[in-house]
Amino acid sequence: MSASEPSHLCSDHGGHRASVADLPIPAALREKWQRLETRRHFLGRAGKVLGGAALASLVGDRVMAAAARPGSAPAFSHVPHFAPRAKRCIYLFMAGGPPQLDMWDYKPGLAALFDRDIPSSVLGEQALTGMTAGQTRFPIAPSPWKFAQQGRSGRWVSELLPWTGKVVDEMAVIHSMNTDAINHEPAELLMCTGDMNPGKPAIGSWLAYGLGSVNRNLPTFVVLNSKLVQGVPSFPVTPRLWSSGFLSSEYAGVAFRSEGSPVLYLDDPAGMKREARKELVDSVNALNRMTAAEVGDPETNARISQYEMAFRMQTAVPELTDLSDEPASTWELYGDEARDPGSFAYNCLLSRRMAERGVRFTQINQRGWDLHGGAEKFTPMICAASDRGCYALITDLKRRGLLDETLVVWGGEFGRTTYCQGLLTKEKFGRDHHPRSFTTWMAGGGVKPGISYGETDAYSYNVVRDPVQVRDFNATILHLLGVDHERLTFKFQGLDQKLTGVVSAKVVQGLLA
Amino acid sequence: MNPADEPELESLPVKQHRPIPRVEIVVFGAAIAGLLTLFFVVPPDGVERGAWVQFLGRFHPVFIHFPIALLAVVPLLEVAGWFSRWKHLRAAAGFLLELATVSVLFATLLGWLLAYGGGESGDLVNAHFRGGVFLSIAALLCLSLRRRRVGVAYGLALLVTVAMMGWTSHLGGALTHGDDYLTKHMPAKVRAWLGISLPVVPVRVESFYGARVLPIFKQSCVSCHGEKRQKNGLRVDIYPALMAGGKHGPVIVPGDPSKSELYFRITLSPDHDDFMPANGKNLLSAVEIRVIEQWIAGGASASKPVTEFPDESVAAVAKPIEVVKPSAGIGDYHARFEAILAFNQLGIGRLAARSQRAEDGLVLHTAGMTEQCDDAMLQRLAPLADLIVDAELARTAVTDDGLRSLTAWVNLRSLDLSHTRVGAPGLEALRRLPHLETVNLTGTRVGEASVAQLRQRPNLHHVYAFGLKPMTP
Repeated sequence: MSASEPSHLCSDHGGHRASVADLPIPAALREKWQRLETRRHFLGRAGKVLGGAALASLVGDRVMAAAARPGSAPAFSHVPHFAPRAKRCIYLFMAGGPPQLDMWDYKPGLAALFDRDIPSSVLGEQALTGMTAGQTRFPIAPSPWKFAQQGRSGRWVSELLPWTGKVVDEMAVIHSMNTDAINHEPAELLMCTGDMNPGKPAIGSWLAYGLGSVNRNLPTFVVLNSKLVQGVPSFPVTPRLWSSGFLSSEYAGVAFRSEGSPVLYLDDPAGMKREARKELVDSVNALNRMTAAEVGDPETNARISQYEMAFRMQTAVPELTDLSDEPASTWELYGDEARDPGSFAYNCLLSRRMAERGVRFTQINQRGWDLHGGAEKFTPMICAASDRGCYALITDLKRRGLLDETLVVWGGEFGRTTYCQGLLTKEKFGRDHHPRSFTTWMAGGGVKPGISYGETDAYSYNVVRDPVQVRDFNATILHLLGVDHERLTFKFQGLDQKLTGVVSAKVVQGLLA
Repeated sequence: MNPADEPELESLPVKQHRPIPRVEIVVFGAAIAGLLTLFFVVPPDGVERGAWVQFLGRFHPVFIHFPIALLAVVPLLEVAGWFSRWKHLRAAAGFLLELATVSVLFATLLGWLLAYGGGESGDLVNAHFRGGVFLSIAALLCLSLRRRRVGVAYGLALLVTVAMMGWTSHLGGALTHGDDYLTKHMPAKVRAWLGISLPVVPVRVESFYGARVLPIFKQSCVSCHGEKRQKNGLRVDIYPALMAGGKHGPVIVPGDPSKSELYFRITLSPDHDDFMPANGKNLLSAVEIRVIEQWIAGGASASKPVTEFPDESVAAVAKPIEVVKPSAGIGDYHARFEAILAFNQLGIGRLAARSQRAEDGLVLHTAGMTEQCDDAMLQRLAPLADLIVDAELARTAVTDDGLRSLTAWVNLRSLDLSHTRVGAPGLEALRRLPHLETVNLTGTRVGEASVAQLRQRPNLHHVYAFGLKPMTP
């Protein structure tokens, strides 16, 4: 966009341009304030440069120009640190904590132990949630669903996942996930931002910051919140899961709505021409540029680029969400449910279209996995709502030649207990939060296909082989996208902040193709 | 003491008690009172004090060997005196004991100065000081008993005194050298026999050299200067060898990077004959060079901890870079910055580095500007074509005609033509691309037969051909 100020801007003032400088602030105070701000922003910028990133490709040209000066270090390509195996990531986030032993972690021996107490040696002494800590008994609730071996890899998959079972040969199923948090919000934050406390950037934000945008007309990090599954109790997910934390807000995830227009106010109001709107955005941005020049707050620049992005999205998003050009084969694959905007299958289809259009990170949130009670009823419902979408997405990416360069990740914030929450009968049971072991899977770009990784004990309670901590999981995701998690840093609060935190994390080599 | 007394020593009956002279009572009493005052009234309290106190106190470790040696010799002389051959030595024992007692007192005083003035405190310091005080009192007692000629009591007192001296000296040694100084290298058998457990390994702060510098050498230098090969006699992955230098002398001058040959070589222009790493392999990043500079400037020590180096170098230090399959023949795009920049500013496509390694080449992005990406764009890219490894041309306006110019894209490994108007004629140019591994023809106008033909190519691992819309002839 042109940086020159439109002449009509302040014609009412006889050519005098309104400015922050006109506000009745005492000169000495203003001077002091500007000095403080300048120093703060200077230091902030210095931190970014030292962090070695900020080479978002959108600003890449500017960085390249700087680098072209003789004597300066080559800054063209700090990130990726190495050639990526995956160009983008689609993260299917199962908020609530899917039950690993009803879906993936096959424990046939448990059937004989129905309603027996889980041995205290297995239970251990770790804290339970307040919802079951008071129980006098911890009776084993075996999975009531049948498992069968699927694919050439012979992976055991529950009958609850008839569709996903067909693509197990593309997946690396991780049985040994474990987390530090036992309740939803901290555990979800830990999965998505690497820290239980709010205020840290999401994985997608880190990648947007480090790798930059491929398509200037669409956000680099998109969040699709799927609709609630009818009849399944769900709790809300917090927008902190796609926050940019201490990074500039231009790296925050852009959440598309699950109903109606995916992004509000992209349609031109009745009677307003696109050109007029363009002029409006340009004028607001011209004002913002003056403010930026005066005050130097980087967030002003973030606002400018968001306005510009929003304007470009006016054409890009309708094209993205217009599914009329999808061939019949798409609907055969995803099912008619995908015609329902906001459904999980619809979002999977949308994420494939975003992959085709260069969106770096798409996170689909599916709520409804918090199966404390009525698990016998709700587990099949929530599985059915998400099963086909997973299958269709992987199959679709594969046949279109996109799976090799797209990383697909599936998982929740923790697993669910083997012991029953509440009353256990042959018909009814419930499962509490279980951070000590849970199952996730990865597929696509750079992931070793058709394997399982790690193992739990006979009760699906404790990890007994190859544990994968959340930070290891996240380090592996970054690795597949060409990023060394140790080197993608941002200086904040005196620390070189990184996604994987201060405890040392490792890339799980066994998952890499 | 009057030497004339000495010959009387053994002639006198042992049990004969002589009254204690008043002078002795006063002097000995004053010494003991002084020691106890130090111990109870002004013990070391962890507060550091003035220069004189500390200056004198520091002579404690120097002086201390004197009373130890003297006191150790006294029983030797006493025992030797039992034999007629060395009878005369016994006379010396009395003098030595006096000397030893005086020096023990003095050493204890110095010790107090050191501990009290130097701001010492803690259980070990207290134990050592207590040992010194009681040892002094025991020595005075020995002296007194010997003068009384109370043979058995004196002998016992002397034994106890020497034992106390041994224990007190050990505590002092532990203060200086650490608790496990003596037992650290004790053979396991001896250790087991004595029932001493293994020493506790103290927590070590990571050295800057080990944590930051060595990994760089191991990553970038060892192929020529490592275990298997020492070009020009230089080996860099072992600290002593590195400091010893190579055929032409030392390569590192501690404290002065500008005089260090190693630093000089890594900071030369990469096309200089002497530039290191040679052959343009494993180039050091700016941060890695800065780490080496700081390490040399900081004294090139093998043990100096990370914490003593500036923070910023530690923050961004590069970990060993992943070993990626080298793709031979791709030039360094840095040399063509201006041309890349000029192309990117046209807004018809964007070139980006695939990674920070130049040999990974460039990727051509077109998302968000597919309509502007046409045959003319491909023409424009001709001067940069050999740098491009991955061309994302999906949904662009390129045609079969334009693809003819792809013959110049000799390093192309991945080509995405999905949803373009490309048909069978466009594939002709692909025959000339030796490194092509992946072609995506999804939704193009290519026919099945052409795809089958393409799949025959040995290096072409992935040909995607979903949803073809072949032109009806």
